Amino acid sequence: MSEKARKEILTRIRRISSRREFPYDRAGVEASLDPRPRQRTFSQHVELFVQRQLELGGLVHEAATVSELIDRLARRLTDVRDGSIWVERGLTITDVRLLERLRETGVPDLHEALEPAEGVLWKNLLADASVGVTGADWLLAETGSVVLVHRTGRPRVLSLLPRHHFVVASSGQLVPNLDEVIPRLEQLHADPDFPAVTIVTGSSRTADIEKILIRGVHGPQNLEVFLLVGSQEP
Amino acid sequence: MKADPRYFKMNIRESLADEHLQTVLRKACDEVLVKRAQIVAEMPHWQQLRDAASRIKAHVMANLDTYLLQLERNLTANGVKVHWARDTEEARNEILEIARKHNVWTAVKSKSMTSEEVGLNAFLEERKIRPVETDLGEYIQQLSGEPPFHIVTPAMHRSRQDVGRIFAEKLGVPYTEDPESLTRIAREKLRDAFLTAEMGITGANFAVAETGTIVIVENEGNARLTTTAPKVHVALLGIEKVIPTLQDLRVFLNLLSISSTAQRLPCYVNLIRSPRREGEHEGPEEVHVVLLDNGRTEILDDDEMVSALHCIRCGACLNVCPIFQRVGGHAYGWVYQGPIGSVLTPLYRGLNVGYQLPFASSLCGACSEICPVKIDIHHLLLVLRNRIHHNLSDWWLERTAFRLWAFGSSRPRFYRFAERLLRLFLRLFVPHAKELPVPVWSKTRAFPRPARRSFHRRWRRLAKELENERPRTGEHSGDL
Amino acid sequence: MKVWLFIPCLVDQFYPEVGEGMARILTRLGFELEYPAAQTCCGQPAFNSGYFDEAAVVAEHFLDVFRDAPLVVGPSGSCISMVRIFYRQLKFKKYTPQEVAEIGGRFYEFSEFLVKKMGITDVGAHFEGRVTYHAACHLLRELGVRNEPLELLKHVRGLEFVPMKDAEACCGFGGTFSVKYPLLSTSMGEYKVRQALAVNADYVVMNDVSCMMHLQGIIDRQNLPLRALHIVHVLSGLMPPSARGSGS
Repeated sequence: MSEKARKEILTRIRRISSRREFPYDRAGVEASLDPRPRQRTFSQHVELFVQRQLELGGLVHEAATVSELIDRLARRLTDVRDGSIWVERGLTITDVRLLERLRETGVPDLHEALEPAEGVLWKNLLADASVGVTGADWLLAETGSVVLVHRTGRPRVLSLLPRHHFVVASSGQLVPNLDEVIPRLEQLHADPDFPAVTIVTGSSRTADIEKILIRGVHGPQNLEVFLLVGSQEP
Repeated sequence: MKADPRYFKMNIRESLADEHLQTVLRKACDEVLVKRAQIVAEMPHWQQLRDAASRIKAHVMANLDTYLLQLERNLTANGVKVHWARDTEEARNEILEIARKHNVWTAVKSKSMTSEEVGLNAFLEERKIRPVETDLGEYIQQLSGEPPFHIVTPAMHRSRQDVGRIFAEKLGVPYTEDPESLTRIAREKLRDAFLTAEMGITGANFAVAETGTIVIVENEGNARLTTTAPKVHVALLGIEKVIPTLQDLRVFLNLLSISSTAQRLPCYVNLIRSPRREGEHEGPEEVHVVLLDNGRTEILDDDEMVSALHCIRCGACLNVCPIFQRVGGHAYGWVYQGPIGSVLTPLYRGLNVGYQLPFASSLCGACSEICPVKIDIHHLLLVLRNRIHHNLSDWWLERTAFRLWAFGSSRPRFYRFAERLLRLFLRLFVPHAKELPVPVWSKTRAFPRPARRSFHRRWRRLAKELENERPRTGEHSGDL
Repeated sequence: MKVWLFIPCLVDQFYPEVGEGMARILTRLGFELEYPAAQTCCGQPAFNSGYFDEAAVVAEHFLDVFRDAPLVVGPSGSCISMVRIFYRQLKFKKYTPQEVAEIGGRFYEFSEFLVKKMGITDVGAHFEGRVTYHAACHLLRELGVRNEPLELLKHVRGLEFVPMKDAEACCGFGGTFSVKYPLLSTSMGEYKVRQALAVNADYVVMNDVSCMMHLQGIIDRQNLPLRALHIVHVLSGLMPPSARGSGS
């Protein structure tokens, strides 16, 4: 296909590399890690996460119990929804399956993102969805980010096509920052069972027109985190 | 405004005469610089990050074949098809072949400077494949038929009325200048395109060799859609984009969006490994990566210039450059703009095309100071100036002048003789003029007369006076 | 302690009182001065314009003049940068890169010498007036001299210091840039002058006469109520001819 090009490019580079010497500076890379997490307590990290989320125009709903969390979630879903609500397959919080509990609260138009029939694609099912509810793999305090590993059951478009993206997580999933989540991602990539990972920091936005910040360009206009805050330090 | 670097000097006249542009540019650049400074001030490890990034890039450039091979191996293991392109033509044709194989009519694109470098859009359009830019700023520019104005904020020079007019004309929607409504219109139109396009074309910010991951950062969500919805995804990237590990990615992610848009992290960081897997119901069936040379190996071979390949395309040097702040992106005439563009254009397009750009700088060094990967951009501009003079013959007059000056300035007796002659000349012909009529300079500034007597002439008398003044037992008398 | 004077060509020809002022201050502080009269220019004009070979011819002579200097002080960030930093890029006939670096390492910019090297921040200066500071690019970004001039200004009796916005932005001189891109150059200079006027400064002070010549040129042409001065003018009390009466 592009064998000739490949050969030529690599030959050229090989010749250049052979006369260059620049060892990898591991110490330098390690010295560039953020020192600030060491100076913060766990609850300060939780506070920081909430603060960042607000700065990004998002919301964090803190709940002390699962029931409280489901209550808040149900209320917000009723408030914002203007169409179908899709919940990640098998979404649980501390082993409690959310979907049934939500159904009990009477939130209408609720769907679980179960495996579609053969040949049916998520992008078509979710094209007009109003809310996508997902879990998270980790939350990053320093940046207010949500890390989503897209295993089967957590399709990318679930947090992309709907107008609102709701995240259900517990404070035990909080990690100080990107620096701290990288080793965990490295572990995952050693034996990967996912096509992609997305680090979400706020909701889709642009300032392309006169530098005015507008949310919900191609992705959700709204990101809200429902956070079970317990005494669960990781 | 001509899209040709050889028209830079003419182009900037337009920019400087455009007051609205001057205001927009200054405001936009000031804002992002202030925000950036605030975030950087909170980060005690900022310089360490820059150091690490610079050294990672230098290491990669000294071992590029190793990392490209590792990248290719891991991409392939992930199910991604890897292509290599030596130049613009090969890159375009690889992508065309993929498009033809899949009967592509429409290709959605997320912002890619590399795709502009190879003129991909026009090439595809000529072959009846419709490329649709999906980044809002790029979409606006594409509709209006203009290239991007700034590598990060392509339509920053446009007012909302401009955008309203363009949308009404080109999309047939009723005129509105409300930014929210305009964005909603773009969202609808492009959502259609995302869901029906057969192909998605992107660039990539980084490619991680160890895991075979393509990394794309964005704020709008258009890259997420471009890489998820269509049946085929093609990522075009320069060979210099490869980095060793996820740990290295951490360093660059910490630097990139702070430098680019003054955000700690962009809205979406996409780490893409593979096409749709068995039993999945989303994602492209095929993912292709096209690795592009197009002059990069030449720069790699150039010991003085290789650091230009370290660029992560953040745009910080544009924002801080007092020249960019006054002329904007279009004046540079090509894809790469501002200080780094003034280095890359002569290198990629040739000295005889980019020759004006390295001189359009006061060498203030603000670009090198702000560069997150510590490229000594203004030093590179200096070296390019020297090369341009060596390689192009149009400067013989200036060169002769400097040769004469060098002759005179390396011979003190000659120098001082010329000095006396000049003062005599001035005393005879312009005895009372407060300022001298110096070509070009005197149009906008006064040029002072030389002093009656130079320091050199004054020294003997001054030295005697100082002898009397010097404290005999001062704390610094005698050698230490 | 013996100090050799490096008097840049612009100072030598246009602002000799800056050289004189520096010499007087150093003498009062007890330094023994020497002025190697064979010096002409460091070669920067050719270098910045991209004529490295021509610059090297002049630089070679410059090193000949200063090779035996124990320590050299000059009132210019850009010229000192040329010798200490940019000479590395030139090819010399008689000098090895190590020698070039070693000789260059003995060169100091005036405020850097006083404050960083000798720990002196008070030279007994008097200057009446509202003063703001412009950070010359080479001084700031090549030599890393940021606070030293401000330390010196802080100790000037009678001087009211006021910082201006974008003090570190380039004045727009840039050597031949000033005549190759005169509109850009002037626009940049005008911006700096506006910032100084915006804080009601009477004087804008800097460590390079090239910046000073450029800004004063704009000020004169537009008749603005501002005066550009070199820090030595302020510290020594010796004024350029057209500004006699300033600071008293």
